[in-house]
Amino acid sequence: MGAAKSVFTPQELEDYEDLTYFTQKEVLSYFHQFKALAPDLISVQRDARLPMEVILRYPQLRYNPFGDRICMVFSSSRDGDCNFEDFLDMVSVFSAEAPMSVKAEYAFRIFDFDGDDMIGPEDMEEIIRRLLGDVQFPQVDILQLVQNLTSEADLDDDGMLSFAEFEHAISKSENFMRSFQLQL
Amino acid sequence: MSSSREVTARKKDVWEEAGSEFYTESYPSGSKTPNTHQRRPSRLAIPLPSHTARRGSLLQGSRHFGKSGHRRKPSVTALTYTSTMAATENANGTTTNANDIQVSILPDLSEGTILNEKKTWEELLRIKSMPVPMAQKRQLKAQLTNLPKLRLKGWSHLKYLVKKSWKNFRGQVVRSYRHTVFLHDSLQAIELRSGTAIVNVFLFIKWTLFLNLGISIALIAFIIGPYLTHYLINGRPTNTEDPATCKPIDANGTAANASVGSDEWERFINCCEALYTAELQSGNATRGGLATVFKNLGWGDIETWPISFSFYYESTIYDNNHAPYHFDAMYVVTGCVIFLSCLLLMVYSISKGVKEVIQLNEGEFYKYSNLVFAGWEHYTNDEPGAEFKRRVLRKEMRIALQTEAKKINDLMITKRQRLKIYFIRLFVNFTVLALVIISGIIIFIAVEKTLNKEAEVDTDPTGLKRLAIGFIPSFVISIFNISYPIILSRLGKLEQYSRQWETSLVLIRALAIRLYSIYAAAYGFARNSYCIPEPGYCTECDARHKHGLIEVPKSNNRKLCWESIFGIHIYRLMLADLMIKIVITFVTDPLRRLLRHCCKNKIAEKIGTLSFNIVRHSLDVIYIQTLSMMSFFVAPFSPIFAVIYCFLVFYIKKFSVLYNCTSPPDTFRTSRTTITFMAAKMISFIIVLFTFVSYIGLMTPSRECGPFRGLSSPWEAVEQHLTSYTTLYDYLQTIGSPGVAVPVALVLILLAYYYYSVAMANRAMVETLRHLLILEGHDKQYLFGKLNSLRRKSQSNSPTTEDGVTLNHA
Repeated sequence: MGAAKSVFTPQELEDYEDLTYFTQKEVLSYFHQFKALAPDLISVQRDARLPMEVILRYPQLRYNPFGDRICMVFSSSRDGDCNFEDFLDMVSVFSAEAPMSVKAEYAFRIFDFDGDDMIGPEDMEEIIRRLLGDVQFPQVDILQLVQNLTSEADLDDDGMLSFAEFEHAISKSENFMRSFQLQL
Repeated sequence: MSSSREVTARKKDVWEEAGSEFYTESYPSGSKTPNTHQRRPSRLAIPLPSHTARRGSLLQGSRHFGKSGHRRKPSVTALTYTSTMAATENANGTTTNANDIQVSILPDLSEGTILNEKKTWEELLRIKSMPVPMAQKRQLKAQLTNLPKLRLKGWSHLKYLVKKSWKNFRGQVVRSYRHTVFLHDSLQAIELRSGTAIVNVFLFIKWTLFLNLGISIALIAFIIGPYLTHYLINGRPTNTEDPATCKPIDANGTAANASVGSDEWERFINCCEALYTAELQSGNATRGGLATVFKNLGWGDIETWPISFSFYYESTIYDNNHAPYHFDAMYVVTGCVIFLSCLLLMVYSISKGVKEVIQLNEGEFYKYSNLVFAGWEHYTNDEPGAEFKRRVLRKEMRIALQTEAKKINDLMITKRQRLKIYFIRLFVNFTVLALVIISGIIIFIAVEKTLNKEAEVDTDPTGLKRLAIGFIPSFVISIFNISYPIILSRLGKLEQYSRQWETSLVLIRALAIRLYSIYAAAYGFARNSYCIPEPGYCTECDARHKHGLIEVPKSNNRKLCWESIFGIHIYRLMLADLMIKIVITFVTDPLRRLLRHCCKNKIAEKIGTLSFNIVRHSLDVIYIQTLSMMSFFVAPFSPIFAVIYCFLVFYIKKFSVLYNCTSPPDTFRTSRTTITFMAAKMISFIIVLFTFVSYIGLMTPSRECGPFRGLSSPWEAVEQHLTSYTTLYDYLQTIGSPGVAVPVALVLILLAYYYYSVAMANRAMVETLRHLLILEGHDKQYLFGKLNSLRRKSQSNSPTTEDGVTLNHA
């Protein structure tokens, strides 16, 4: 712990504590976890960018069907490579103390596969496909699910979900806050 | 034959292929033109402000969604929308880009606004919740801290300090609660492995554990504790009466005309007690198998232990200063207070359930959003968990689709089929009723036979055979408890209700069977051991009450100290239930699993797949809760045993979930069963309440043991002591009188009506707003269509693109 503490200046630690939903101790423990992904790289250069494949070795991300999207969203260089600050952002948003609005915002970005700031039918289809995994689901069923989802959550009837509609649908779901956590 | 062909042809016409227009959700806004479905969303070249607007960044301060959704008043929202729109224009000349959430974050520095500490702190919280990368946030924070700050003075400074420290404190408390709470690790392991629905059952077990713990603490503080200390100091008072002289007094009923409280009456009561002690000490094993076993083990009489009702002998305890502790009154009052607090707890959880019902009825439960967006639990960190989640999701999606298809099929059902379904449902209901009655009769017979057999003088000195016989009713009840939910769920599938309704029905029926079994056993016991005694006799039954609700025992005598026998029966029930659970979880279920691996035929496979039946396991918890609350009055240790039982059952079921059950459970998120569980808890609570009230007010306590000797009902003890506090008594009388109750009821009704009409008004407004939204959306589509066609026309006229409008090819 002492060694890790000297990696960050007190100002940085205070910043991290103020700007994430963690205490300083938790920030340091997450640094250890991050370092464990690629010890030789991080011990040399603290702010090194780890490639996406390395980040995806993190246990909660490894089996996550949206792992690559999560990396893309949180990566400040927009190509999936994350440094420690991006990683810290990620775990902070996914923590238990983060409020619904923050989680909804990032969830929206994660689910918006084509990046057009709306969740359209293709995005929804992609989400469902990823959730189902390798098992083949009949195409007509998937389309039916997309259809049902749209008619349920789309309020202004344009066939896509804007952020406001997404946030509204999420607020009605009782599982979202609990599901959207990396640590229980 | 031509007619059959005609019929089939007609059928074909009816059953045409359901096109996309049939696969609609019941849209609350009413008519929806068919061509709006499957609409290809027109790719919008211009990102609209309404699409990129983020409510969280538009409103100042933090918004709380979730359970306690505090919403800002609409007028404030409107203002901030327009004002921020203007700000966006001024602050940056560019239009908003999808990836940069602009909107004014910092107050306009050019005007020289000075921040104070509180505003800085709030700004910092705002920055924390902004969806931008960390580096940018740190920049913003640096900017913020470099601004000149005013120190707050006086009252506002105090308020700011309090608010800040409260927030920190709350965060810390929540953090520590999450990590150090009891059974946390097990719950985490179960949730990781099997998801939220199963974890809810375990949370229910935990809740029941804490409820029973609360009841036990109340009992220990007011009943068991004081009496035990008194007993340890003073011992049991000796009875001066001699059983030999007492026998004729009891046999002839000489005290029949003695008034209550007179010397003759007192002597009579003491005589009864002497007879009882004599019977306990005699070698006859008439008090049940457990008592004999205890005696043989050298632990003395089970009925002199604190777990038994007869331990609590004196009605008033005097401590060193001769201050009286009215034990009998406190006994009853503690019981009433426990029930009252449980009632309040029930009401609190009912209110949460009511919210859910409202959500369901208003169409506000977004099933598919919940399934798709909140479907994956991101804390899954190993392969088996991920695989399990995927299977659960697949199953849920299939069920959701099937429910939709079923709804459509139901609309197109022919009259004949409808009739057939009604008949099936009627048949199933009759079968269930018959099953319930049969189970009740079997249990009743079992109880009676075993009680009779136990009363026979047995030559077996160890008493083990008698003990085994005594456990038979408990085993019978447990077997019914385990097998019936399976039978009921098979029957339920026949009825073809919707999935949610089916689960609720199975739950209600299984609950009915459980409660009925408890009461059948209790009735069997009462018939054997209880009657209202004649005045002047210890146990002889009163001939006047011979044809009452409960039949009089055959021997025309009620058992001596029937309460303690009843208490011991309850303990036996709990013990038997626990033993059966242990046997099933650790012996039969693993064997069933092995069966699946060894033999490769279909039957073995079917027997071998175990799934965690949520209904059955939740009902187990309700069952133990009912037992504990029904009997804590005659068996003060039963809540304590219930705590131990819950604790053990938690780990037994945990083993079952983690190692035995492999397939996903039957009911989970697509069926909302919370309201049904709530109703189940409430029903069992009301029934237990009736039992308690009837015991306190209507049943005659034993004349030979317990603190209520000589009284005609336990409530009399309270009344006797209340009359000494005349003012309190008068006060209570006036509260209970109609003069107060009627106006209170009237006011409550008026309040309910007010809230109902507010709800109706809100509902109408929601409808109107939804309709408006759709109209606006259609307008938008129309305008975009026009815009696109105009652009295409202008493009075909001039090949260059207009600046300011970028063409994104979808």
